[in-house]
Amino acid sequence: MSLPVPEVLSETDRPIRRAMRRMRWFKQSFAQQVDAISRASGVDYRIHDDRLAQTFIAWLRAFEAQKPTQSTARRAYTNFASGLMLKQMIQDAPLAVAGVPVGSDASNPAYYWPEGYAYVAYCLNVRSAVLAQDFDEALALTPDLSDIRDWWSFKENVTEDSSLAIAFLDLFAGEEPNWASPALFYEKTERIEAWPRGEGSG
Amino acid sequence: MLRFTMRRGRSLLDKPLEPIPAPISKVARAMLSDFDEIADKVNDVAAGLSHRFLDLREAGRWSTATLEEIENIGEAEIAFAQAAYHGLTRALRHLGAEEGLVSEVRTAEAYKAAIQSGAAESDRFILAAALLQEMARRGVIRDVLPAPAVEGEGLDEPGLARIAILALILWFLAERQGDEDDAEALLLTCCDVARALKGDLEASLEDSERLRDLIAAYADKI
Repeated sequence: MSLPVPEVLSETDRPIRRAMRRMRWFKQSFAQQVDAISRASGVDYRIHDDRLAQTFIAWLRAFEAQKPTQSTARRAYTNFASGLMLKQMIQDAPLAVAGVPVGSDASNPAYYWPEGYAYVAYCLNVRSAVLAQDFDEALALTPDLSDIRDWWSFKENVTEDSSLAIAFLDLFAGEEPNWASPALFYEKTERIEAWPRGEGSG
Repeated sequence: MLRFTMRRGRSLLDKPLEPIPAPISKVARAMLSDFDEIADKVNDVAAGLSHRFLDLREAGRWSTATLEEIENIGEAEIAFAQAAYHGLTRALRHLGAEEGLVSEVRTAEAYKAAIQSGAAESDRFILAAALLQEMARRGVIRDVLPAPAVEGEGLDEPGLARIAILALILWFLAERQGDEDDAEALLLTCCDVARALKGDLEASLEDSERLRDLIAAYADKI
C-alpha cells in the first residue's frame, strides 16, 4: 500500500525534524497531506485550524517532556514522536469529513475511516522523511496497513485509549509495538545502526 | 455622544442584515466594520488624543511590521499603534468576534508605558510580556461581542481580547518569510496558537516572568 506524500516532505534540503516544530510548516505539510489524499480518494475534508494548533501545542509539549538525553536514542525517539503525533491528532480531531464519493468501498481504510487514514498517512510520511534524512533509512510499511481488520481494531482501540495509537503506528511501520505502556518512551541504544547525518542534536 | 450615536446607528443598521443573501450581507458587513473604525476614531478624537493618528495614518505603512522594525523607527509608538490596530482587528475577526473596538491611542500609551518601564533594555521577550500586560491592563480592545459559537467554547469578552493580544505579540516576534500576504496568513496562525495557549495565558498574565517564558517558548515555534 502506498501513501500519498505531501510535496513539502520531498524537500530534502531542510531538516524536517526541526521544521516539524514550527506551526506554519506543520500546518502547511498537513494541509498538503490532506489535499493529496483528497485528490487520490475523492474524500472531501475540512481542516479545523484551531484544533490543529491545539494538536501542535500538545504534541510539542509531549515531545519535549520525554526527549531522550542520549543521542543514540534519537532514531527510536523519531518513531515514538510520530506516534505521539498520531495520538494527539486522534484526540483533538483536527479533520472532519465533508463528503465521501458515492459507492466508495468501505473495506478500504481510506473510506472506512477517512480521518484516521489521513492522520496515519501524515504521521508515517513524516516519520519516513525524518528516518531517510537523518538515518539513511527507508520505512518498510507493513502489509497490515491495508488490512481492514487491523483498521477495525485500530479504530475501536484508539477510541477507547488514544495512547494505543502510538503502538498501532509502530505496527503499521513494521516496528515492534509496545502494547503495555505505549505512551512511555524507554531509551534504547541497541537498535542504533546509523548515526544521524547533519549538524547538532535536535 | 457622537460616538454613541454612531454606535447606535451601527446597531440599527446591523439588524436588517440577517435576511439579505450572503454576498450582499458580506459587503454590508464590511461597511459596518469600517463604521466601527470611524466610531472608534471619533471616540479617540473626542478624548482629544488622536489627531496625530488620523493625520499620519498611511494605509498599510506599518501594518505588517515586526516589533524589531517598529523599535528602530522614529515615533515608534505611532507605528506600533497602527500595526497593532491592523493586527488586532484581523485577529478579533479570525477568533470569532462579531464586533469589537480597538483604540490606537490606548495602544500607543501601552507601548510608551512598556518602554518607560525599562523592559526594552532587557531581552525582547521581556518587552513583549510588558506590552501584552500593558495592552490588557489599558483595555485597548473593548466592546467585543463574541459569536455564539465562541461563547460556547467558554471564551468571554476579556478572554477573547487577551487571546487577540497574545496573537498580536507572537506575530510581532515571529520570523517573517515572505510578502504581506504571508504576514497576514501568519497572523491567523498566531491566532490559532494563541487560542491553544489560552490556559497558560490566563495563568501567567499577572506574572511578568512567567509570561515572558510563555512568549519565549512559543514565539520561535510559529
